[in-house]
Amino acid sequence: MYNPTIEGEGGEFKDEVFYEPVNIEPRFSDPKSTIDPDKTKNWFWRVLPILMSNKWPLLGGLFLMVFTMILGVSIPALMGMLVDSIEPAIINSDPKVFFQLIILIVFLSVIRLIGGTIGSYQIGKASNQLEADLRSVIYNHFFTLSFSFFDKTQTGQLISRANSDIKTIQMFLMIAPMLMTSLLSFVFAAIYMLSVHVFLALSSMIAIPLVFALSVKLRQLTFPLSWLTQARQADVAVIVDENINGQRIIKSFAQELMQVNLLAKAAKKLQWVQVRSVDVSAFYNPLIENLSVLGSVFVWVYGGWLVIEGELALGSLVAFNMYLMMIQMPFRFLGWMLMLEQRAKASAGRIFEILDEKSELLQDKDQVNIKHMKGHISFKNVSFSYADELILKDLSFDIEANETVAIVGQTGSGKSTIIRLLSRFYDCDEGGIEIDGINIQDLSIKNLHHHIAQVLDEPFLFSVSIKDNIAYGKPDATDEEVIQAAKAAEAHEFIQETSDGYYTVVGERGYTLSGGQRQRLGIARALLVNPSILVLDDATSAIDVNIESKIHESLTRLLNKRTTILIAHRLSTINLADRVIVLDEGKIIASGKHEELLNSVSRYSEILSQQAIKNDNESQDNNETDEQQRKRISDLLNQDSDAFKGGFSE
Amino acid sequence: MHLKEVSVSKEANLPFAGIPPELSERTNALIDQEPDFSSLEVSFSHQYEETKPFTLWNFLAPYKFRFIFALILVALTEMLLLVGPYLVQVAIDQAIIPKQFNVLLMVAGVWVGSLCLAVVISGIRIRFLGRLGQLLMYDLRVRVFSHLQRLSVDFFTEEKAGRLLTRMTSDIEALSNLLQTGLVNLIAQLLALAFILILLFSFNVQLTLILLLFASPIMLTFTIWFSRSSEKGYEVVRNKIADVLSDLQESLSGMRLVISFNRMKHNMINHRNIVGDHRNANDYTAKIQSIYRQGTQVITTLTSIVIFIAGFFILRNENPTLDPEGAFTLGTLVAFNILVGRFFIPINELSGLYNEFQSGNAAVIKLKGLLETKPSVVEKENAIELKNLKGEISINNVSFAYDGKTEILKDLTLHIEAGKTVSFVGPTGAGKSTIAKLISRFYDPTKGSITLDGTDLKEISFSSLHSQLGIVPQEPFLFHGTIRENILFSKPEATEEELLTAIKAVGIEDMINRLPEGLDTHCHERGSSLSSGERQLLALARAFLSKPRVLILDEATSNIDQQSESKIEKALDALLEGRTAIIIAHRLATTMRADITAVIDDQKIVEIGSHEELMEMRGLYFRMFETWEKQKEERS
Ligand SMILES: Nc1ncnc2c1ncn2[C@@H]1O[C@H](COP(=O)(O)OP(=O)(O)O)[C@@H](O)[C@H]1O
Ligand SMILES: Nc1ncnc2c1ncn2[C@@H]1O[C@H](COP(=O)(O)OP(=O)(O)O)[C@@H](O)[C@H]1O
Ligand SMILES: [Mg+2]
Ligand SMILES: [Mg+2]
Repeated sequence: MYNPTIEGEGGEFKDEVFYEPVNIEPRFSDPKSTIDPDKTKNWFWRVLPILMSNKWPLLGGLFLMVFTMILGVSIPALMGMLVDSIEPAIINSDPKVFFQLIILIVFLSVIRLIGGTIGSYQIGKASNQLEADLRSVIYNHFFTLSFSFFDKTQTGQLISRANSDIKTIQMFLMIAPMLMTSLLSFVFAAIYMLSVHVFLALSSMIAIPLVFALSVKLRQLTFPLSWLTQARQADVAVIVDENINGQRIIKSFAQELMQVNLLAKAAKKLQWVQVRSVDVSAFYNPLIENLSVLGSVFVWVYGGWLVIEGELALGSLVAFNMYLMMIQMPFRFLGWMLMLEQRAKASAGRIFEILDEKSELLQDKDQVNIKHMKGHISFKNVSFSYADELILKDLSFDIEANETVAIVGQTGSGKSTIIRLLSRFYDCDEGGIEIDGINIQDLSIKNLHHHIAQVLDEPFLFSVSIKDNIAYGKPDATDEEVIQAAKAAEAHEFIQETSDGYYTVVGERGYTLSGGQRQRLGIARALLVNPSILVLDDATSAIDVNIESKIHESLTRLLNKRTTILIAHRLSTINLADRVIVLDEGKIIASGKHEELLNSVSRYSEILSQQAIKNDNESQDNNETDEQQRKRISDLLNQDSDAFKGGFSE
Repeated sequence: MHLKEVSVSKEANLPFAGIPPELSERTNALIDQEPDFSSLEVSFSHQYEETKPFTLWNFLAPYKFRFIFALILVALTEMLLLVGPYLVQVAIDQAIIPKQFNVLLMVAGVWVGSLCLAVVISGIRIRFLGRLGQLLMYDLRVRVFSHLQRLSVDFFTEEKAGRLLTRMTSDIEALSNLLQTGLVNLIAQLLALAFILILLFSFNVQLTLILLLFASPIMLTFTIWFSRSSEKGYEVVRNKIADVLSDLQESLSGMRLVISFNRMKHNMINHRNIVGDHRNANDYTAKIQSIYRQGTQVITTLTSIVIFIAGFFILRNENPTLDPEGAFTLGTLVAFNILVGRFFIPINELSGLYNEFQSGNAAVIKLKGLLETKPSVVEKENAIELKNLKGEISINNVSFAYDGKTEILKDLTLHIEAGKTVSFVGPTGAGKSTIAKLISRFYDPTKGSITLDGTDLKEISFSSLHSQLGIVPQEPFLFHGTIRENILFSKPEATEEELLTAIKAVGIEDMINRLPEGLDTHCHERGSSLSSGERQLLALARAFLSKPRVLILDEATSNIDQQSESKIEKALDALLEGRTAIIIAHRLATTMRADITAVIDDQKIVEIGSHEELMEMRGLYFRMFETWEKQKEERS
């Protein structure tokens, strides 16, 4: 069982200043640019650097779009000429003009097909690239943020920002150029119409402002509705999500009916807002659609009269109508685009909120890297609070290199917080922490984490294979190394019993493993990286004493050459330590050997409840206050359980 | 109601929430109008309802008359839409060319009238169908969700939570789209196609045949190509975005590990690769769409050209003088061309509808699968409402396997007298939690039976069983909501005094007082800002509040210090007076308090008895005790 790779300083990568595992080939180049840091700028200008880092497709696409738009605008005019060219004279003798026109139209159409396709594809590509770059930029940024940031945000919120908000911006940047060019086509169409007949042109456009006003009004009404719809959909999703994850609790307290009622209410609210949306669109949509046709009616009547009077050719009238259709489009979508812009702006604001968040953690001061860490830790007058209340108060203690120390304290006394400060998940408010005499704020973060490995109280497993979970900190580890680590954590046996052994994919949250099995995987994961400082935060709470003692055997074998911090409540674990540090209400009240403390520090034996056990063992009576408390609680608890009392005669 | 709804305005206390102020006024006004549905009550029963299989037809059948009414409205709208092109032909041939101005006025009058009618009728149609669709969706949501409540624990272990969530969200949305727009549109477009064809034939048979034989096949092939490729493309996009999101989710949840194992670079490259694949998938659909959008326009233009050429020759042969009274006129040609544009719209729409239909149908199949899944643990019809439970549990020759093959428990027998405290000890993975799950009837034993007060668990109604039997698992689950709501979960109607008693019993009053908003503090991210022991204490308070007659603690105090634990145990003693308790723990101190201890190993109970009796047996328990004592000595 002797294992050179995880024992002491045997690991290969120990010679590096820090080990940053990369076991994957990049297939795409990194984003070339990030957002403009100047917060005073308009959102579009802030995104522009990313957009411009890939400018040729965008500019080329825009050019092609404008070009094909101009071609597109000329086609109705040519069609009109085509109608006019059909005259009795031509039909009978000389159809040359007719066929020339036809060849011209076909030619223009083909050019338009090619140009338009390439143009809009390039714009689509540019916007997709922007989306991908924004996704990477924001993902990479998450790793630079401190944990106090994650304390005030919800994962769901962050995900929606890193997803739907980015998508909104992408949508806007893809659709905006198209709408802009179609708006430009309005200019050309209007010029044509005005050149044909000023008064007819002006009067045919009478309906347009109305259509525009209505569609703006529609968008104004739709925004709150679609926003509320989304919110209500999210409410339903949250209820369902919690219901699925909390199903055991719901079942064990028989709360199914209440859950169904909860959902019914949320679904009813969703129904209400969706019916409202239906009503709005039932009123506005038919109106807008048919109002646009009204312009055509007017053109046919007034224009028809002009043709009768001989002031206008029939072909021009046909072309006129096609243009009228063309110019109504951009106006119907203009309201939409204004709303899209508003939304893109709001989305961009939400994304910037994250990207503008800076963490002190990764400032490139002159960073020190320790190659071989001895593991002497010293806390110097450390104070810390998450919010207002001080969790750690003026804390000072030392842990010698290669020492094994247990931190003991009540639930919520701040034990895990000490560990979080040591790995710089948070920075102390006052005082400082030194390792080997160097303040950890001067150490590079990667160097620090290279030397510290921790097993947290709730082992998080990724939904990859057991092997990849154990090798998380060293993805290039050999099978042999992984198996050694698993053996040291007493996990090898049960892993082999799973369906695919080390290649079994651990399902969501590892539900099919028992709690102790998960904890053992967490320990194996930490052992594999062979840290100079090992932290076990309540990491064996679900493991039975026999296996725990076996793990401890391999740990003691491995502990000698590294500093180990144990956080535990069980005597069996505490017994493993050279020294115990007793934490109470954010202060250290004592430190020393377990047996000594047990005799000298009454608070310590209180925390460990040694009295209680002795009392039980020697079958002494509980003292009076306990008895009173017990009675009081018992009375209170049984107060209203009359319903059950009948069958309960003792 | 115990859980607060995630209301829009409530989230404002997070710095990263909400909408820009310029838009919030209108949304707030809308929220104010939202009716209060808090008195809404629906019924729920654990009985699995054997109804007709869930198919689109069965789902819609009760509403068939409403759908027929909607279809009549659709047919009317589509006919009204064709009045325009027909009137254009009339205008050219009977008014403009013969110079009849009053005919022109008449045309205008009819046209405007038809427009007004169209506004009214399509307004009614949208309203009618929309309301019907939303009603159906509400019913479906409640129905599917109720069914989820009926399903057993094994179902939720096997199915990915994310996948189940989509049943209730995107699948129902897909079905809703199909109902409200898809089906009706499908019929509307088919009708439109038929009407247009009739009109076209009445204009000119030859031209219509040219359109049908020449242009339609091209457009149809093009459209089918598009809908196939775009369906494939979107499928890839959906898969890729799911990859992006799950990677993001996992990185955020496992952030501490990513940072502390220096995995940032690896994960960044990995994410870039996933994002890049997603971009490629997006590029593919962008390409298809660009081709299609431009292509349809060009095909329409070219078709017009072909029609013009053909029309030109027809005119030359049949009506060279362009006589407006002739069989084929210039007006017909122009109107025909306008209709050609209209003719392609349904064809294009139908391709989109095809996709919608596909995904709606896929959703129906998935929902059918879910609704037809039978719970593995069922409540008997007319199950017994067991009142006033004494708490005598007896496990008779029980065997159990999660997967039906590997037996976790084998022929296990155990009798627990009412009012006794039993503790289970044994190696991890021995099956202690499994026994607890069987007693709570999360699973049914493969062989043997479990009785409660002499009644087989299978005979007892779920609600009477679970309201008197409480289990606290090792990993506490906190719901989105305040601490108060989370404790009240087990007994929503509890009084403030009961609540405070439960809180005091587990000794968290100090902790709660420290919190900024006390009991009304929100549990951020399932309680991540509480220490793991504090979360367990909350779960215990929740169980204490409901005062079950049988209490099962499955390593429920593993992250709690011994002092707090012994305090809890005292409270527990008070609570448990005369109640049955099963306690699973690895601390011998806890075990020693129990009346009986069962040592579980190797799929069965290997030893059972009081602490003293077990010590005398000199078996596994003795060895565990030895290990504990030995460690103590070695160190000191
Ligand atoms: N992220 C956080 N935000 C605010 N308060 C926290 C956070 N994490 C822990 N706390 C609080 O700080 C105190 C100490 O927590 P912790 O160090 O986890 O305790 P323990 O000693 O049980 O490990 C607890 O009262 C807990 O509620
Ligand atoms: N849902 C499940 N599906 C399949 N196997 C399971 C499931 N839950 C637990 N197991 C397996 O059953 C065995 C007993 O688990 P459990 O009862 O949780 O043990 P413990 O005694 O530690 O509480 C373990 O080997 C575990 O991997
Ligand atoms: Mg802790
Ligand atoms: Mg267990």
